[in-house]
Amino acid sequence: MPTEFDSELSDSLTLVTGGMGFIGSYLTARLLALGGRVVVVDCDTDPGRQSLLHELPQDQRSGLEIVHLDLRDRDAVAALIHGRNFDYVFHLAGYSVIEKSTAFPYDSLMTNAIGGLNVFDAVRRSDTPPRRVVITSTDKVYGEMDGSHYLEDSPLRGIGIYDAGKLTADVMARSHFHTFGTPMSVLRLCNVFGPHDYNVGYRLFPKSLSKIFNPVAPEPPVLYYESMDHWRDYVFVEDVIDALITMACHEQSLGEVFNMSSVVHLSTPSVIKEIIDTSVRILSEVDPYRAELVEKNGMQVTTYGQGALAIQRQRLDHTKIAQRLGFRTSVTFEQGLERTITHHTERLLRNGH
Amino acid sequence: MATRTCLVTGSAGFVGSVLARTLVSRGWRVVGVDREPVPSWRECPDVSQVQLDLCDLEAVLALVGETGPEVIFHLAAQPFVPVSVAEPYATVRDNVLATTSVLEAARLHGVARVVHASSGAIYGSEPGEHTYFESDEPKVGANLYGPSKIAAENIVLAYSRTFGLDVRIGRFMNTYGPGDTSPSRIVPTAVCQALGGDCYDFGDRDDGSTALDFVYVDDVVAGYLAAAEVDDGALQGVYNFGTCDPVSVRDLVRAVSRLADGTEREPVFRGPVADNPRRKCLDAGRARKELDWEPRTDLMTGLRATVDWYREHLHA
Repeated sequence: MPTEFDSELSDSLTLVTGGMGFIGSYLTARLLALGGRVVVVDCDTDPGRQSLLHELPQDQRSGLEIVHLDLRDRDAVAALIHGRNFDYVFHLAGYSVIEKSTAFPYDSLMTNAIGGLNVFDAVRRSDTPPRRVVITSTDKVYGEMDGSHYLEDSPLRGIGIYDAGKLTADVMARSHFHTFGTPMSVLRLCNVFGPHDYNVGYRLFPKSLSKIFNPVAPEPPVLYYESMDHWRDYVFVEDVIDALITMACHEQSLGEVFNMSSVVHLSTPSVIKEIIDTSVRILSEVDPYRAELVEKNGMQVTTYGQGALAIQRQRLDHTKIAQRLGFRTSVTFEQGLERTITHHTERLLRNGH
Repeated sequence: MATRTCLVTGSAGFVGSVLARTLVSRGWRVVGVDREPVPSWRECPDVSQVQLDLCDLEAVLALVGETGPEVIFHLAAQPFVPVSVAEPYATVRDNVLATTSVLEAARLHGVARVVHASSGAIYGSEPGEHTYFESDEPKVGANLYGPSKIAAENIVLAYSRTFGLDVRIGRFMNTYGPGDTSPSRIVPTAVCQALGGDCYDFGDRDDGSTALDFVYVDDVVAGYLAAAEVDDGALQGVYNFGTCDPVSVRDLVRAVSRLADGTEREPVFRGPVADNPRRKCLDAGRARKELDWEPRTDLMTGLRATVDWYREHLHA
């Protein structure tokens, strides 16, 4: 959906770190569609990597430059930021999966904590700083909930390694604003879903959909026993892009942290059930045989068994972003689900069985 | 009984050097780790000194592997708030990245316990009267020191929760005592001026009204030792160490003046006048209860020892 700020980005030069990833690629595509020029930096720019950016038609890529860069390299980050007059910086790069952060704690912290610091530090030292640096943080920085919702000023009691890296970047971003006036804004995200999320190894939506839309034969999505009582907020990826653009351009977001709005608060079993039910409905129109198998398969409940640290219930209060920035989501959970599953269905049909 | 080995990072520093000597006196084999050489007057012949940059993970891994410490006391840090504003990157590097190296080495080499030096700065520096408890929420202020300590603490706790590392965190405020030569701290500044200077001027950082929680170095060291040695303390123990008896910096430097030579100097504080002066202290109820820790040195005794030390060493 367009935002009231889209015109401000039409001739802008923007840096998107992690621009090959799920949210980064959507943001980049939107900025390009608005007529902006975008420099994407990513540590994985392999042309074989699945990314929405690789699927953009050539005529929509003219303003795009992709730079291979590891944000842990302070000098390289500074050279890039000091060498261009970016109007906006969106810092999205980092380890985005809890399990991977746990498996590689040091590397994850270097990327999520020090990588972020390198971006903020380069902006602080820039002679021509961008109008705004927006970073994506996470509801994981809050840790266990005291009440019914997290407020932006709730205590930060992140639990695991992923949480600690994101918390460090979150805290560093805000302290750079408070200390030096570096133009930072922080958006704390909940669970984001949509087409083109290729993180099929870990994230609930793409992982479940990769099972249902397995080209060989549908398999049941997996529900871990440990996740049975997990409750999370969900939002469609395009609403996150609207929020990021609003954050970048709204004067009331300078130096502030905002919780992302969500469209639904659901338990993990309910989400998987919604994914299955919607898949069955959409598939029954085009592939009744697979629809029947998906319905019959249901979900597979198994034990994760690796003692992953997870918070039982996470719920963001989004009053602040609504009241201060006038931000509203525009895609319901059902609409987002429909679009995500339709995308998978079309891809399956296009690629054959 | 086999000798127990520990690592003390920051052993060339003020508190680290006293801690290292105390550990030696208690029979520990102490390996001191510092980036800079230990000043000769702080050297302790029984401490094995190793010079390395804690941000160099490979070097830290090798050292921990070779020495096999039972406990790591991680005190190395960039500890000054004004320096964190002048050198923000170096501050975060030294306080967050170095801590991560230490934790990673502890994890990979199975170190039994890590005692991490944190700070009352994590609670922020809001005006008004505040007594902070361990459960109080950290606050991001207008410097990089407090935030770097917030981040480091969170990483320490994340390693503990994720990998079962036994960690203890000590939050301290204003440590003072013999051997502190930092010109950034108020006690050494006051003593040096009282003993040798012509003026008694404390610059524009404060108007003299700010009251802080001053803890004598021996009590701080006792806090580290208690945190390290208690076996029935909670895993991931976080402890405040403070007197809960804040003293205004004006009263503090007046006392130093009297102790130095009996003169009642009028200190000059040129900072902006505070409408709502800051009085900040740490409640140490948990350390008292679980570690049997008490601040045993009263301010006058501690300041007298500090002045005496300076009198002996200032011109040495």
